[in-house]
Amino acid sequence: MGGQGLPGFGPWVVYLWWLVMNGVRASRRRRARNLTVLAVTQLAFGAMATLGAMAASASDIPTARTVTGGTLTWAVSDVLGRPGDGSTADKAKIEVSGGAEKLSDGAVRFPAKGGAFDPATGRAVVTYAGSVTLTVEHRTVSVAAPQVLVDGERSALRATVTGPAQVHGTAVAIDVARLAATRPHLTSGSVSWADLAATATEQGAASLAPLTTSTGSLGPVSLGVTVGESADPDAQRELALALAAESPTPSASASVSPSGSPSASPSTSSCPSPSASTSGSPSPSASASTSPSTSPSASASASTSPSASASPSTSPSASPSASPSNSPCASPSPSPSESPSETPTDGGPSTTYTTIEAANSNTLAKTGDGFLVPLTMAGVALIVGGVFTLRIARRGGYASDDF
Amino acid sequence: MVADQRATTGVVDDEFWEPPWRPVVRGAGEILITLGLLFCLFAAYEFYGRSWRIEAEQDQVDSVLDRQWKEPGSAVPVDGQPIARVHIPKLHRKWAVVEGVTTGDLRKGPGHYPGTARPGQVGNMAIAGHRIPSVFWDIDRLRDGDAIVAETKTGWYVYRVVGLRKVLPTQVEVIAPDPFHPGARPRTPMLTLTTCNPKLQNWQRLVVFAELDRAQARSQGRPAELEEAR
Repeated sequence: MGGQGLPGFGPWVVYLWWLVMNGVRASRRRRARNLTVLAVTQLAFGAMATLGAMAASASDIPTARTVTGGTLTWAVSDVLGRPGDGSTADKAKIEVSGGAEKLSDGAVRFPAKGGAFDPATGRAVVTYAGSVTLTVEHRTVSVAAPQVLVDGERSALRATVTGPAQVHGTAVAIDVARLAATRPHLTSGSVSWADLAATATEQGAASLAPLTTSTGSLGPVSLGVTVGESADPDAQRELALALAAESPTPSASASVSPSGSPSASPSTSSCPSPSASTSGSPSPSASASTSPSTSPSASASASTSPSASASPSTSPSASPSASPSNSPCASPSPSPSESPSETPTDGGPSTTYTTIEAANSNTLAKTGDGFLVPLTMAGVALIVGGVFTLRIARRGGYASDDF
Repeated sequence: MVADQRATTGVVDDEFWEPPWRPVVRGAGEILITLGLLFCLFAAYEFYGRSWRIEAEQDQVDSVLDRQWKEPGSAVPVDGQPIARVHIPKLHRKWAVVEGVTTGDLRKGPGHYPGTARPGQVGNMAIAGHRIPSVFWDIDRLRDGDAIVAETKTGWYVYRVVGLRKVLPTQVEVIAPDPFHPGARPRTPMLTLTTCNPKLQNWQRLVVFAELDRAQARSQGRPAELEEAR
């Protein structure tokens, strides 16, 4: 929208300029040059307006939102093993600082410091404050300033890990673990991912090695953030930067172990199947038609199919398909979950449960064109410019009186 | 006109001397006016012409729908084929809604987001339509309590508007089964209209939410809401 003012205004500025020039009695040659410049400028502005119109119709709106708060809960002590099984867990000491807090079950909660979440793509980057120091006998490893990146298979937990195994002189953030990104749970203004299975990367395992002999699965990671009301270009930039930053070494052990995931969802891959619609498989819908219908209200005679209530066999963490974060898994719609059984035989309209599919649309349908207004403005500007130019052309002939 | 003068005078004389740059400027001016007119005419065609084309398509789709409803059995929605009729008595409008929201589908009239609920189902029946005079041009005039009536082969479903919202195109939660609690299990049958906002622009979407008020069988005749509007 901002660019439209320029092409609309441009010709007038040029005319003003020309009139001022004309006030000074310019020579014919000079005036000819001025007019040529005028005509060319007018054409250029027309072209600019057209280009502006095209650009306006394909404008990119920032969709990412700033993270305004939230927490990261990481059962970091799981790397030490279970207390009481003779592992290092019994001897370990866990200390937190910088805003992190220790929960009763041994997990550590970090407060969110900043970040961005894009509801259009489902990608997120959240940075957290605080650090946790694990001490087993004399060996100490500290994990500071975690950062979570949610981007399909590239989802990762980064942190600055310092300890005996630190190879570099200065601590740098490394990818500690790969995360099995599940579908986020969305409520108004907040996004959360529950119990993401974390698998240590080679680097992460090496960093934590002094504490534990077990590698592989780290404690599950849960995070929830609140996001700003509206999209923010800064957040978009931050997210783009975080996504562009290549992880140091994409290790071969990036595959995710389903066993480590406490969420029994079928969604260890980055593209979880929509939970609500998967349950709409043929068998429940078949039972729906044979089941006795409860019709509480006489007016609507709504027969709520029990398949709706019987279906929540999916994990609680995977939210139903309404989440807009389905673009990383933009697969063709797996199953039309809709029951096409619109069968009120005697005219009693039926009411059945249905859900929209995931991965179906990332945006609402485009129902209008943005170029009409700029195009019309450009057209009017061209006509006005043309009329003025013609008038000037007529006037020029009588200048001979002056000589 | 001026060119004629020069042609008749032939030789340059003082009275009608024409500077040599004048034909150039005149030509430029004429080109500018022509281009401007073309731009304006094209814009007008895009606006009124599309509106007119959709009206023509609607006539055709409407008759297809009538034919479908005469046949026995219930039709599975096919992309681009009509699935229901939607009336907005306050605006004195009705459309045959086609399945699908691609550009091609929306060329025929309002489109039903695939996979969303069908009329009367618990969930959200989401419909997209162009913001042009023959479609959803003035749905911003709808207010809470206004009726939106969906007509199917078997019955009438009277929805009442419960809210309007302006959102970004990416906020697809408005067509979630429960648009007010995205991710939650829907409990009521909803109907949602989406169109571009503001008028003649497309950087926002205007969304109208409506909730099912009552349903009545076809055998009970047209709902009173439609008769009132007549």
